[in-house]
Amino acid sequence: MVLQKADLVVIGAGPAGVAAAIKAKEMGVNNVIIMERAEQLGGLLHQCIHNGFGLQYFKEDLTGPEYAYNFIEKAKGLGIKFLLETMALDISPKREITAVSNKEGIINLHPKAIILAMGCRERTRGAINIPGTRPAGIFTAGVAQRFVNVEGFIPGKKVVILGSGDVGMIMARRLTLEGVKVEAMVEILPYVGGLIRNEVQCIHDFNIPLFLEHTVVDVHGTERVKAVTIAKIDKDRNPIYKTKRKIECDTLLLSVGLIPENELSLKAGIKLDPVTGGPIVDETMQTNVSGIFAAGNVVHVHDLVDYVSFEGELAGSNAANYILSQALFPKMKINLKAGEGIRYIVPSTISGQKKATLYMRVLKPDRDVVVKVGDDFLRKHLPIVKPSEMLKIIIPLSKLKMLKDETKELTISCTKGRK
Amino acid sequence: MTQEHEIICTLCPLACHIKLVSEGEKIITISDYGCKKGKEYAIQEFKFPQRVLTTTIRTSDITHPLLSVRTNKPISKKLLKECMILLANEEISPPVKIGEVVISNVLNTGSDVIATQELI
Repeated sequence: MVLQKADLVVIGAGPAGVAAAIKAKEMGVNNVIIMERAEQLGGLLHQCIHNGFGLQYFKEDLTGPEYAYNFIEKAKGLGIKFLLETMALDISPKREITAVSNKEGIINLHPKAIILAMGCRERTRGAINIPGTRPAGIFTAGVAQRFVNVEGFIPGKKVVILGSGDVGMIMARRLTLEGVKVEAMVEILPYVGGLIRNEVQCIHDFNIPLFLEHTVVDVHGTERVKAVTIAKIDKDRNPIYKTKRKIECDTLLLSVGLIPENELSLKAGIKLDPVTGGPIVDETMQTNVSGIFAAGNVVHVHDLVDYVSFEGELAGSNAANYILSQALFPKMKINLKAGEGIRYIVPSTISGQKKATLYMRVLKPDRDVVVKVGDDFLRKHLPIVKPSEMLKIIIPLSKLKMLKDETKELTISCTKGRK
Repeated sequence: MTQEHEIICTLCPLACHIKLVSEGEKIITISDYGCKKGKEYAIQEFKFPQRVLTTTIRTSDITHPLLSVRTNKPISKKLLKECMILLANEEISPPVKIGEVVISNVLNTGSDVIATQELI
């Protein structure tokens, strides 16, 4: 058993974790450790070989590996310590970490602060209850992406993709370019789930047959997938069986959503938001457990990595403040509540003492809407909103200062209108 | 004979559905664009649609069988498949630096294929 000294431990070396560690180190935290279960830093970015990363952060169009490289080089240069191939097994509410690695065996750490950056996991067949047989050939889109982009083999020759999230669309293009026939992309909603750029450049460019308001109602084959049956759905999302059609294929890829990975958070006594599946955090990205912060997809699933990095930096700088000058930490006074048309808001509480940056998602796509904070406290007209594109609303400090002292809650809504 | 095209602009989340009417290669009208950049995008998409190609090249390193690469400039959409076939026959040996040119002026496009990863 090894007891390692650390001021700050970051769990997970994906974009959130690396950005958080860099920021904390730059702000003067001495002993920063990143713990990562994989053999390298960068997380999922290594298998995301497509471009479209960094447009916000670097004002440059980069691929995933290039985006990761910029951060990893910086982290290495700053003298951050990496514990690779190390798996965190337990975190106590007192911030005691138990981890295990092949090299060192059991490792114990008791840092002054922790940043959770474990990311998210793909929903699988079990999560959405697809009927039918259980043959080989059913993969999540992310697993297929690793096969094709890192390990060097294709998952099949004729593929149906269920769900039109970004990873699914990216894989439709990638597989087509590698000579695989993508027979169909099937989406239960009346619109595509991912970004418009991906819809155009992955689906339209390669003439992928898109079936909106459809779902997979049967899987055929015993050893290997032989076909899937799809059907249109009615307004209650029940399949309309007379619209059934069988599509021959050898592979079914699932791109049906991501779930924040929070087993460790629960062990530490952290409260999760039932909507996001991630820790409830305040404006400093601190959870309900003192000294434990969280950032990135472990909190809520993002659509752009750039915002994951920004969120990591926010958690990193606040963890640094916590370690270096705990006394200066502001009290959170105002709860933020998701009102009409809003699915969730991160953070859930703000201090009112500084500019508040709120990230949120709407419930449905719409044009010409007004996002309202409080009872006419702040309003913003938006020409278009989509659940797949995260909204960012900033409440300036000058505005917050106008709030009455007794204000305990602000409801945020998104309704039709122009003003 | 005129032909109507619908071009979805990807420059911003508004995703304008731009209407372009052409006669052969000549553009007759463009409408329903939200800004000047969108209009230019539609013209480019009609005349010469281009994409950055991102893919992988086989390596001689068994622990890292693939190296991720991209074109350093967008290339004609029509050449994506041909470029994939060309790259399928390539193999690269370490060391490779990130940003290193793997194939210069690929298919005479004026664009280089560069490594987006390190291979040590």
